[in-house]
Amino acid sequence: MPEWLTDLNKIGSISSILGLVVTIFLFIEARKIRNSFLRRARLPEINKELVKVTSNVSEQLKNWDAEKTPALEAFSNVKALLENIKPKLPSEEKRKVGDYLNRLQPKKYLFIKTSISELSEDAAWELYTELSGLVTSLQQLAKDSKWD
Amino acid sequence: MSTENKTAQLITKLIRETAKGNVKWVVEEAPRSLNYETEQSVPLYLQTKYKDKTLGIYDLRSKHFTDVDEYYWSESIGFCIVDNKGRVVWELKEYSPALLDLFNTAREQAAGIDDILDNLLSN
Repeated sequence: MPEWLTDLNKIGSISSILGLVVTIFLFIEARKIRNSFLRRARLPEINKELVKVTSNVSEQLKNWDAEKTPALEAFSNVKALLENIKPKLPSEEKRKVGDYLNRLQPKKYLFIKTSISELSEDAAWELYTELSGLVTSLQQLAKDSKWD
Repeated sequence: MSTENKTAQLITKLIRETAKGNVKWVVEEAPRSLNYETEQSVPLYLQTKYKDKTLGIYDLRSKHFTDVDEYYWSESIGFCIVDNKGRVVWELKEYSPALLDLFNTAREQAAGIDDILDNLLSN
């Protein structure tokens, strides 16, 4: 086989590898852009709902002694909203939301998640404090996303 | 623990204590530094004594200029510690849902909304 053909083969192989790298890079970038658009569209809406359910959590926690079920239901709403927004967040906020969800339902025996109904009153108020901070940081992210 | 975390815990504690009736809020005149010679206005200021400290929470309207003679108003909630001469020695203006909840809880208590509604509903 002539030498120039072997060289051409080598160039072809290198180009294929480079093409694959570029494709992977573009795939990752396209996902980032998609998530950024989803964030811009959905985060302000979810933040509004999160503010409402956070206030509802505090309203229901005030009546914990009389009836704790509405407070636990309010936490379930919080969980649903956070699980919805989590995949669309950048890594730092995704970690914060993940940590919060883990605290909401800590794992028992490594795998099994405990039920929200096992929360004590003090633990529930502590989770409310953390939720307020988390909502504030998501609101800041929504403001930042306008400049993406 | 950071000041931010301690403040968040204090706000939650005040919501709990206010709901239990252990902390009483009253409507007062806002400290001078909040209302005078500033580009802001405090239409409602609520104050309480908690562990010998005077704490205030207020509705804050701030003017934001977009040009020399163009501006808009924004609304937020402020929280402060006041010394015995009525001076604001520490202030928190960063919005958080818990701060808004504390303001609403304190306002409902100061207005005596429960008693008013009970009175209106009684025969």
